[in-house]
Amino acid sequence: MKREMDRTTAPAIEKVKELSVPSLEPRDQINGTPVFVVEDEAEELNKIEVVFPAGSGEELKPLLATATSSMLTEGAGEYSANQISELKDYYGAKIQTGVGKDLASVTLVCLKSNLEELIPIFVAIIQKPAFPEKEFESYKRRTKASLKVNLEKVEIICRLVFSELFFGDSKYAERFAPEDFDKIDQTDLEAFHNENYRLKDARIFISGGDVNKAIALLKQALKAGEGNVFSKAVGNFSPKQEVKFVRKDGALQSAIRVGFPAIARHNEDYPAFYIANTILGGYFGSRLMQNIREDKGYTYGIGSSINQLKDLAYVVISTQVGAKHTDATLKEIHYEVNRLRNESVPVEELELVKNYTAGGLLRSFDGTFSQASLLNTMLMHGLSQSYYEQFLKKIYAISPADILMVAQKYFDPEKFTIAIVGEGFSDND
Amino acid sequence: MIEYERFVLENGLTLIVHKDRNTPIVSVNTLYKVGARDENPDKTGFAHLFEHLMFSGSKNVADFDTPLQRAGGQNNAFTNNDFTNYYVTLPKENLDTALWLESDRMLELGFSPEGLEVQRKVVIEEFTQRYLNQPYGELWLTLRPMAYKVHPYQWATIGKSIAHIEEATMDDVKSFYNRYYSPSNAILTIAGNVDSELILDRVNHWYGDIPSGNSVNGSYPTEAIKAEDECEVLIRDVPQGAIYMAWLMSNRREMDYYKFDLLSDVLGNGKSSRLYRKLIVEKEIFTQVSAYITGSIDQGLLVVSGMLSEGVDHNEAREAVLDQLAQLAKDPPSERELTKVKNKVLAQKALSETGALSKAMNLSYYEMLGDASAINSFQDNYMKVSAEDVQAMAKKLIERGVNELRYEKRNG
Repeated sequence: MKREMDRTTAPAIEKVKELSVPSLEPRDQINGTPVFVVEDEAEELNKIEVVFPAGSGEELKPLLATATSSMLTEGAGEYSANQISELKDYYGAKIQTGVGKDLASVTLVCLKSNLEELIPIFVAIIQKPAFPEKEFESYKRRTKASLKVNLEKVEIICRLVFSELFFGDSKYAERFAPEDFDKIDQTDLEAFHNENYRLKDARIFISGGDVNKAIALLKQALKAGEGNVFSKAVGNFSPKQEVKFVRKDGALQSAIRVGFPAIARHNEDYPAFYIANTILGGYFGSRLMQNIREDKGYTYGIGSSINQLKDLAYVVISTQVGAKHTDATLKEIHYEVNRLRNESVPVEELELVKNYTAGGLLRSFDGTFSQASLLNTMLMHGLSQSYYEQFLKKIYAISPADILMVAQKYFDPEKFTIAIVGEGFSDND
Repeated sequence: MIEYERFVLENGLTLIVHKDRNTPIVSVNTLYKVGARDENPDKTGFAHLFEHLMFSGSKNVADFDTPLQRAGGQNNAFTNNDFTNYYVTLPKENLDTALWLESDRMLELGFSPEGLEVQRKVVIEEFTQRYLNQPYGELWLTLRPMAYKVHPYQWATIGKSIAHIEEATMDDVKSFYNRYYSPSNAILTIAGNVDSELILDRVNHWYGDIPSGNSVNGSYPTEAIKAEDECEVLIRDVPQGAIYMAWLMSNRREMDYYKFDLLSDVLGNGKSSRLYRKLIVEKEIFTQVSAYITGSIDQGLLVVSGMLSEGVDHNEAREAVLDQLAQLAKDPPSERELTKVKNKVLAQKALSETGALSKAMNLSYYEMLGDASAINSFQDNYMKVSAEDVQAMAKKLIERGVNELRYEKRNG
C-alpha cells in the first residue's frame, strides 16, 4: 500500500497548554511536620522522603554534613549497621541519604506491602542514629580512599578550584581534603544531627501507592521534636572575577568551569533569563554544544546550568576538552556569550527553545516520584501553586528583545569566574 | 503486569505498544539489533561511532534534533556489545514528529562527510574522557581481551583503539548502515497514554513504505571455558591498588544465567553481601568491593572488583575473594540470604516499571531476546533458583580460570 506523503515537511506540532501541578497543600501533618502527597493507588511502590535543612552550608567543619548524612544508616536505635543493611536488602528496599548545599534528605523506596517492616527502621535512622565508633572509623577509611580517587579527576579538582574562587568565605564554599575526616569525631556528628535534623524544621513527601498507610505508620513511629530553624547566613559572598589555572601533569583533557551570578526564580526577569541560558548551553541543541562539540569536536559535552540555592543563584558553564583545545574553547565560550548580548536571537531558534522548555516541564510531571520531587523544589524556593502555569505563559510571551535585555544585564563576561585544570593552557592546535 | 500489543509490519518492523495512562508524555524507543559484537575486528568502535552519526541528518531531514526539540522532545541513544538503542520522549500530541524523524533515518541516512569528521572527533574526546583520562579507566580495554580470545566481546563498545575510529571511512559507514539499519532488524516500542489503533495507523503511515532490508542473524563464536588463570598488572599513578577478577559464565538465555546472577548478588551486591561484610567491615582488606554480572546476551562475565586498603597486597586480596567463593561452593547460602536476593529482583522489577520510557526500553529488550512477554515473567526464573543451584554455580566458577587485572600504585 503506497500512500502520498511528504517527508520533507515537519508534521504540525501542538504547544503544551497546561500542566497539572500536584497540590502544594499538605495532606496531613505529623507532630507539626507537614506531609505532602502525590498518590497513585495503582503503583506497587512508595517513596517517602524527609527533607531537613542540614546541607553542607550549615556545617562548621568541612565534610561534617556529608559524614553525618552517610553515618545515619550505620546503626540507629535498636538496629546495628549490619541489621539495617540486611533488613533493607531483605525487603528489596532502598534507604538513601543525600546532602546538598542547603538540604539533606533521607529517603525510603519500597514495595507498599513492606511499609510495616521498613518504617520502624527508617524512623530510627532519622531520629536515633547511634554513630558507632567502629563503623565511623570504617566509613572514614572507605570514604577517604574514594575521595583520593576522585581528586585525581580533572573535573573534581576543577569544581573545588571554582568553588574557592566563587564562593570565597560564604557558607557555600566547598573546601575539603581527605585529611579533614580526621578532624571530625562522634561528638561533632551528634551535635550536627541534634541541631539540623529536627522534625519540626522538616518536610515529608510521600508518593506512590499506599500513602494513607505510610502516613499512619509514620504517625505511630515518629517522635515530636522541638523546632529550631537553624540556618547560617550566606556569609561573605563576593566571587573573584579571575581566571585560575591549576596544572595537572599528564591530563589528556582540561576541565573548565565558567561561573557568574544568576537571579532567583521570583525575579521578573527570570523566565527570560532561563530561556537565555537554555539557548546558550541548556540543551543538546544549545549554541555551546553546537559550536564546541558538533561543529569543532573539541569535547564530548558542554553545558550551562542555573543553580538555585536557598540564598543565592549562579550559572556555571562546564566541560572537559582535549588539552590542546583549552584556549580555543574559552574563546568560543566568550564568543557565544557576546553573541547572545549583541545579536538578536532568531525567532525560529527562540520558538524552538520555548517549546523544548515546555516539553521539559511536562517531563518533570512524569510519574508520582518526579512530581513529589518537583513539590520539594517548589516549597524550598517558596513558589506558589500557580508558579509553573505562569512560568509557561511567560515563556511563550518572551521576545528576542527580552533575551537581549537579560543577556546584556546578566550574562556579563566581566563577571566571569573561571577555573581550569589540565596539563597546559595554551592553544597549540 | 505490563500489558502491550505487538504488531509486525509487512516490511518486518516489529511494533510494540504499551498504554500508560499516567503520563503526559509519550516514549518512542527504537532498538536496532546491532552492537559491538557485530563489528569487524579491524574496524572496532563502529556501532558506537555510527550511533553518533544517526543524529547527523537523514534523507529528507537535515537535522534530527532541531525539529524534535521544537516539538518539545528530548532524545538520546546508547550502544552496548549486543544492540543499539535510540529513545525519544515528547508531549503525546506531537507523536508524529518523533515517528517522522525516526522513520526517515531508518529509510535513509544523510551521510554527510562533515558529520563524519565531527563525530569522529567527538567520539575520540569521549574515548579520552571516559577511558584514558580517568584513574582505572582502561579497565575494560584490558580485561575484555583477557577474558575473550575468540568472541567479539574481546573489545569494548568504544573500540579497541582510537586508531580504528580515526580511520573509519564513509564506505565503512554506508555498508554498516545498509547491513543493519533496516525495519526487519529493528524493534519499535511506543509507550504513553495513546490508543494502539492510532499508533498503528501512524506507524504504518511513516514506516510502511521503508524497504524491508535484511534480517541479520548474527552468529558468534563460542568462547571456550578455560581452566587456567590469567593475570595482568598495570602499574599506574593511582591513589590505591585495585583488583578485578572475571569469570566466564553462561549466555543470557540459559537458566544458569539467573543462578549466576543470584550468586553474584549473594557474594557482592550491597552492604549486606558477604564480600562487603567479611572483606570490608571485618577484615578491612578492601575499601570498596562488589560482584556483578555483565548481562550480555552471549557468554557473559561474573566480575568481582575491589579497591585495596592501604598496605594490603594483591595476593591477599585475591585469596580473600577466592575464599568467599570457596565457602559458597562448600555450603549453599541460607534460605534467608537467598530470599533476600530474590526480593531484590522483585523490587527492582517494580522500580523499572515506574516510567513510560523505562517500560518501552525493557519491552524492546525482551522482544530482542525472543519475546516481549518475558517482561512479565523473567522474575519466575529467578524464583526457581535454589540454594543448591547457587552453590553449584560457585563450584563451576572455582573450576574455571579467573581473569585477573591488577592496578598497582607506581612507587608503592
